[in-house]
Amino acid sequence: MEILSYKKFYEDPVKKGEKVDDELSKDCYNVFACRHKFCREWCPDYVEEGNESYTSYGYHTGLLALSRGNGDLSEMKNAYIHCLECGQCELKCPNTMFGGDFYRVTTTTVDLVRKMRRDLHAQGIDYDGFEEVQKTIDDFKAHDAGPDEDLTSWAAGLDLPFEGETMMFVDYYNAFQTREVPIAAAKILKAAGVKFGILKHPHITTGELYETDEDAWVDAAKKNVEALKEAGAKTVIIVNPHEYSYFIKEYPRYVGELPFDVVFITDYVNDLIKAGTIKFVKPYNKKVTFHDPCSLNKLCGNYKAPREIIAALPGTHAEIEDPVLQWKYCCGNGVSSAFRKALPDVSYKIGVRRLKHANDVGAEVLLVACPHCKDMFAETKTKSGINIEPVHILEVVAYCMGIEV
Amino acid sequence: MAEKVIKKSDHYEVEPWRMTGYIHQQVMNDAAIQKIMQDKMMYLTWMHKQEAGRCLPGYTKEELES
Ligand code: SF4
Ligand code: SF4
Repeated sequence: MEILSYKKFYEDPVKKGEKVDDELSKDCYNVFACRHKFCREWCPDYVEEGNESYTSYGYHTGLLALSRGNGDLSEMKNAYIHCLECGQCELKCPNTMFGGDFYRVTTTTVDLVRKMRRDLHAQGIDYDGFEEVQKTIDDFKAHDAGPDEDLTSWAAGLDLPFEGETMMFVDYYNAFQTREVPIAAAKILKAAGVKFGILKHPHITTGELYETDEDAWVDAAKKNVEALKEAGAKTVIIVNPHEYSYFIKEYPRYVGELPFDVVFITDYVNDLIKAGTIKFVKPYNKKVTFHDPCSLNKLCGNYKAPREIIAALPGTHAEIEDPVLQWKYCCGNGVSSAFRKALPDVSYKIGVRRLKHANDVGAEVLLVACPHCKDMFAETKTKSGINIEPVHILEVVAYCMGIEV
Repeated sequence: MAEKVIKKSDHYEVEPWRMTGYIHQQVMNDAAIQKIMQDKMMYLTWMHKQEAGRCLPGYTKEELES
């Protein structure tokens, strides 16, 4: 299911000393004119920082001001980095929620933030802390240029082919930082008898590159789609919700309709549970709650499968919240990890708020469906001492199936 | 002024020609429209759940006259 929603005129870069495109200026006025500020109240950055400049309203209004000749582009240097790209504001904005389907015009904050980071970077105006982000991009580029064996070393011993009608796409973050997640995914699918392959050489997908060098990111996107097609993919299972959002929301923009179906791992596993192909043999006797990844719940509207999986886990006592309430939260990482790298203190505060909330509902385990959330919460737990364990939902599924990960 | 609308797969949409003068429509496929409708229903249902169980008191006579 591809979700296409974007504005062509974002493609014209905003340049220092040049007139802002008229379409963009009018578009920013739409947000400025609303002033309901529903976007603001649940913006995880605003909740911590209380600075309206760092909200959807602020981002649009700042740009509107610039288009009217007030201020200078370089003053926006440290503004756009304050967005987690969580998507809460754009779906809760009345322009989207109560008029978007009627007018086919919505608030597209995430896209605007990515565009502005790109435009500013192209003119040498980088936010404080950008060096850290550039380092990640360079590391990931080095993986892409490195030997194929490194990219699939996480799958050592799993004996997975490099082709198949069903392919699992594993991004670099999962392949290098949170290997237990793709390993759990692969072992679950194997135990359920699913025949699937992985790419011999997946290309770079990271959001930090997307919002810095769009051309390089799109080039890699095209290579990924081509490689999956060549491998014979009819269904592509994605293990990282950030990549899932890129595959279903961004890739079709640049490569057209995808020649395969894209499925998120929790949907795939949930279907196997419902079909009786996955069988649980061990209980998981814990009190759990679930953190919806922004990229899945808010950006893609996908929230049912993790809830159904948790409900099917034997022995588990679950306190799961309404997905709407979860629009308020982010783990603090952000859909592009640039936020966490450039603003570690704000990121930490956002993480603490979410962990405390999980504590309040009486959980001992916070289940997640995203490797970035897992990493972020693990760090926040250690730093804050809040006693709640972040665990990936796939690790629990594997555990209940009696699989060692 | 009443909008000129068309009905399309369960929802109302403005006639596209009305969106060619000042603000233009963006690229949006049916899945994106469905997502907006889903988010809207979820949000309104959630809001309803917050408020439906209680009745907000009106003003007392004294408050009204003060
Ligand atoms: S996308 Fe999220 S973090 Fe960014 S402005 Fe919107 S609500 Fe705030
Ligand atoms: S982003 Fe949306 S909710 Fe927020 S002030 Fe704007 S138009 Fe209103």
